[in-house]
Amino acid sequence: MKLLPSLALIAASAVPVSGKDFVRQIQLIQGQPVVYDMPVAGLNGQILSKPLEGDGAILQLYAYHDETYDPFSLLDVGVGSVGHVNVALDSNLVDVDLLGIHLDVILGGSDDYQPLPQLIDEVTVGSHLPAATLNLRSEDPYNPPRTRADRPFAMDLSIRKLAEPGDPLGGIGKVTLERDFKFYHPDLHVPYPNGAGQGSYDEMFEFTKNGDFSDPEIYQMLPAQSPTKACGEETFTAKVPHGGNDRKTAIAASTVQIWPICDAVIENLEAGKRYTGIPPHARVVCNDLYPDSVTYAQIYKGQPALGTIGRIIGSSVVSFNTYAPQDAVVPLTVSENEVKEDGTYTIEVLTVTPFNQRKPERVAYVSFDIDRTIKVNASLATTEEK
Amino acid sequence: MKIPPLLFIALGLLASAPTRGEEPRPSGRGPEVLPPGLQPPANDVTNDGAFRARRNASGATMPKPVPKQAKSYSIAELSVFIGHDETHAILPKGSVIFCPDALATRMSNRAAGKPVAWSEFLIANRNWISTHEVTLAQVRGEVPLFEGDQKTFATAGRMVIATLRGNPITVLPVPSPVTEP
Repeated sequence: MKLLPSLALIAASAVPVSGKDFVRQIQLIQGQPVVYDMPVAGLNGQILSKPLEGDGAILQLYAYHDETYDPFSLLDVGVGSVGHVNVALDSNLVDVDLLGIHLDVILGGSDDYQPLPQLIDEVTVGSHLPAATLNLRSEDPYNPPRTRADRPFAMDLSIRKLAEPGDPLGGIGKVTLERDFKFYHPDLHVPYPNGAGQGSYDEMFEFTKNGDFSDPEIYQMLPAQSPTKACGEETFTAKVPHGGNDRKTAIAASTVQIWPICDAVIENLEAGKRYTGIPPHARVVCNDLYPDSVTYAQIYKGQPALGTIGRIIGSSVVSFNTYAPQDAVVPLTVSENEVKEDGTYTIEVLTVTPFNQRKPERVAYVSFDIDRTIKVNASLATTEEK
Repeated sequence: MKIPPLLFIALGLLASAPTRGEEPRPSGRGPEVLPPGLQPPANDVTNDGAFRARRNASGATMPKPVPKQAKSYSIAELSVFIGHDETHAILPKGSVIFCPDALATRMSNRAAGKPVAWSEFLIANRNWISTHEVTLAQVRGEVPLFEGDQKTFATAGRMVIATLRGNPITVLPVPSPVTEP
């Protein structure tokens, strides 16, 4: 008699919970998938697992991105001991053709649209599967990993339990590394829930040996028209063949968020113009300030010269320590005393981020003249009395 | 024994020591949120041209973006959808163990209408759906469903969903015995 791999199923709690989100366990029984769906209610769900045997199991967590279902709630979820993910739910649909690309786009109005739940997290476990850990990191120590569009990030991949070539047991001898991307909604800073703006890159790496691998300098490749304004994420996934029919499952994955470089416009203060003082409505409009950043304006006498330390304009200082890029409008309040002497002045907008060793970087600047002398265009004539 | 309150304070301070030093930098406005020891700016923020040049200099190949490959073990591949009254529920593929011909149109491989949790869908549609607890051996396809049960399904005329501990599950077909050619 042939021994069947025993089915190690998860014992869900006896009381059925209601909720549309669910954990799906896929267990391969002689190559055939057996699917078991367990509902997850609220923000927390617990499942208890017996030791796994046989061909291994895939655990998937599904949640709905659905306007009928709390569209902007923040869900903190994860499967097993694998890292948690933060997912903001929304239902806005945006045409990514604006970005000049057309990818695997499913727009809400198309005939092909199906109200399917989103796969939030997935993990594959099994005693005969290779094991891998994959970590992405950048100069910003924040977790989840993130970087600025112009900065490189690094990847560490370690692979264990890969079968040697010619292994009589015929285990899995190859791990492939795939790289995917998702654009984010530029204002909401989350992926488009309808699956728009997502794709893969046509390069794939294969690993056939156990060991630790590292790539210290990887640049984001998001196909944005302006690469320094790219806003999205890239995911590296280590996959192994599992279950025949060219099927693959992930054994490790890591995602890095890519945030755009900020920009700033100085308003109501024109370059080269002459003023008697800083206009009261002068201000700076900043976009996409890095989530961990301090941005401020400084003023100094003279033409713009990078490397100058000026007087910091207190009203302009804005600091963020959060999870997504920020916009800000700050006033430029400069008193008469701070521009006592007439002449050319420069105002620079600077930003300090985890990059560039936390040295300020210049975002924008403007030079103008302060001139309080009153010129009277008149001629003085004297008449000699005779 | 009385413990002097100072000891508590000292212990409390000790316990909080690792966190005190790393208080997150606050968000806010005004000169007080400036980091100490500011240096002069050394460069402008990177523009597109400079970034492209730096990326090329790093030896990065420029992979082409391609549509995402169909995912293995995807929700669409391994689900069956049952629908009624503009609502639907997702079930594991192979979990419908009996379906009278009259109800066949309520089973689909596509999701349509409003998604509803399986438990709620079941409550709302009790008049034509029932569940049947199966054993692990039946799930694995080692033993068939009991004949008596199958007859009961046919008599009741409802769609029957296999469950294990209350949750829906695939039931693999029993392999047909190999016949000699």
